Amino acid sequence: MQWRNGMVVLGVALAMATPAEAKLKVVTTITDLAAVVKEVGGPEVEVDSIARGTQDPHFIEAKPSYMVKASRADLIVAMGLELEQGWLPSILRGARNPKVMPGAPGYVEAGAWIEPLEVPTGKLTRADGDVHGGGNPHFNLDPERMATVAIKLGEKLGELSPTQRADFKARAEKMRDRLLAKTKEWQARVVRSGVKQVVTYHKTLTYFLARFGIANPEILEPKPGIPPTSAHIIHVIEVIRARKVPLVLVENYFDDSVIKKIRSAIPEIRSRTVPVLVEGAEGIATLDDLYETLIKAVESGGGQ
Amino acid sequence: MRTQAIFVSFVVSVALSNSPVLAAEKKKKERSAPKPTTIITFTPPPEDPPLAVSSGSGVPLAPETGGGATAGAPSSPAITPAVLPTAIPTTPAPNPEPPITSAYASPNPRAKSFNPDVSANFLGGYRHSTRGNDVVTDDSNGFYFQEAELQFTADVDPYFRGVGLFSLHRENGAYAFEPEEVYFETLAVPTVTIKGGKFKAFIGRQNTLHSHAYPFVDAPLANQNILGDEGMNDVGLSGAVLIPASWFMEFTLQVMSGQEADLYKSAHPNDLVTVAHFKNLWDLSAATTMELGLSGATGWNQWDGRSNVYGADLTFKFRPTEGGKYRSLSWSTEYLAQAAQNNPNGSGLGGLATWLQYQFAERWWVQGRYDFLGLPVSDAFGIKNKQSLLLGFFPSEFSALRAQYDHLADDAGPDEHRMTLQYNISIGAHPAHAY
Repeated sequence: MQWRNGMVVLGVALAMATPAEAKLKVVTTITDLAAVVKEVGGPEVEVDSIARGTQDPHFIEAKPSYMVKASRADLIVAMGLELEQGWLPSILRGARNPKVMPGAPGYVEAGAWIEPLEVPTGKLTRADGDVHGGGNPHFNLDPERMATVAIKLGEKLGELSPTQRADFKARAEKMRDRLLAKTKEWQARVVRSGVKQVVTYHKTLTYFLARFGIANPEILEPKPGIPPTSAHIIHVIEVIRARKVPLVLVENYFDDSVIKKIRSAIPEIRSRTVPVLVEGAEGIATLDDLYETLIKAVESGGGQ
Repeated sequence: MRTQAIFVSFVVSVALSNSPVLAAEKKKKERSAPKPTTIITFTPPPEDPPLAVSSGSGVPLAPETGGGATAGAPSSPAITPAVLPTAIPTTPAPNPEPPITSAYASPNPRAKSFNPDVSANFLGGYRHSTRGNDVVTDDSNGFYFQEAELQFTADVDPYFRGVGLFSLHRENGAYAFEPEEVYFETLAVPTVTIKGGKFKAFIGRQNTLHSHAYPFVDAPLANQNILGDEGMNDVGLSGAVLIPASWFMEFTLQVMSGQEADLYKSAHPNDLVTVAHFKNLWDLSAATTMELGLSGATGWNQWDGRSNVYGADLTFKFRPTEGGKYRSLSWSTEYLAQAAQNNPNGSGLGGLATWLQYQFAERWWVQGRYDFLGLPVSDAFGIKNKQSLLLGFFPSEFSALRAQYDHLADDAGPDEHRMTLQYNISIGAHPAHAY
């Protein structure tokens, strides 16, 4: 009898230790993906982002502490399109966790789910600066593409934790519907603002501007990844004058002193330093907050 | 020999106890069946000239011919929501989004090939030393070619990754082409990375670096004098275990032939060298890390005695989470010592180097190093005392121009003053940077 009691105790102990209650551990490369996982995954999922919202996601250091995080993860969610190529491979190899190596079920790139913009067609050369062979990787600023990402991430989470599949699906659909509905409102506000073109620092806002019908006639970087030169700033000033561009947006992890130079030439130019990632500034906890902030920044260029 | 047998059996048992199941095809399938995204864009007002949304380096546009000089963008009055539905045509505007079929179906031409990632690195420059004028050597004054390095890396299959690095450099007045590191490592074994082939021994941080990744144009004195110009780099087997802890804790054990390292050239081919490294890295804050490493190596030497190497390294790195593109600071210190039994030139030799690296602008670094050899002192080398100052300009991730000044005081004669201008060029595949 004692033996059987022992077995029962052991069984109970094992049942308590089994991962029925264990949360799925998800590590994302950027905070925007973490925001999607947080909403779609709900309380059943633990999520952590490697990069912070205030950091340029092209240049993250492969800190060993990220390897520790990845070593315990059930799922790695990356942007792909070569955004993380300088740091994520080192982190994944250092993590020594075959579950999340590229090719395994615990590794996904959201870039595979969306239609990329600015895919280079000719020969790739670094003389063009920091170009990505797969296309512009900053699709996190397009609410519609992120709605697609939410649906796909819901499916992925359901694959890893089938018992919660319905919950993930419901939350993902709710998120998608909300983002799509808000996009219509945001589009209406952009139209009302009258802003049809902006100058940005890097091609970070390409997807956002395309979604809201705003042209991007000039970039402050002479080439992607190359900091602004004096000659190029003069050229940008000429373009702003000629095209009457009302607004300059500088992504907040870049040096915004370049705005002063433009303003000294064109005092009436409006400018905003904008967060381009969730948690990139105070009070931006969700994708909705982020897009709302960007729309407000665009509106600030209107009424001229 | 017993420790080596245990090590090998450990490696084998870990390798056998895991049969990873990988679904490599999954992602590709998803890629090939894209779900078209709804495209909602605005047609630009007719009076606007076509604007290139994706234009990077500029719209060719002279200010006086600016088509939009009086054009409508800012002048058009606010459009009321009632007008909105007609303002959202379903046909894409000329520029914002390319047709779905073109790019999305084949995102990256290179992604389709099985070619390994190939890159090449070129190092060289100009140098002038107060001691370099006497005879022409590989180190003499003038323009110099330091090294061209070819690198091939690829995943072999779901289980292994292959790395080959070959170096072309000057050696004894002629060009030599040599394998630098040629190894495979495991991808599918949890917790431990097993590496086999020819690789750099994990004795301190400096010895694991390739010359193009050195913080200064040269290695610290202790590394040069104890481990040799090319560092300790040998054939063998390595296992690196990530120990579960709240910080990064890694224990690496390596067994090597010893035949490539002067310190360990034993007369008996069965004598192996054992190397151990214990690495700890803590995040002191979101911006600051501290790394502490301890290293040791032991094996038989050519004088039929044991050679031991000891090392310790301590590195602090600071990069602010806001504005981290433009400012960062790191401080590294490495200690390295040897004890070689029966060495006729004296058994002990050690040195300490400590250096600061400060990034003061996006592409600029200034660095200083203090380097001391003589802890303990060896009769053969005496005491060497060196100070270095470096200014580095990094136009992009793929190029660097650096100027370094060294002052060396030792027993060999009057103090040496040396100036080096170095270029460091990388072409080919994007490198994945180590921290």
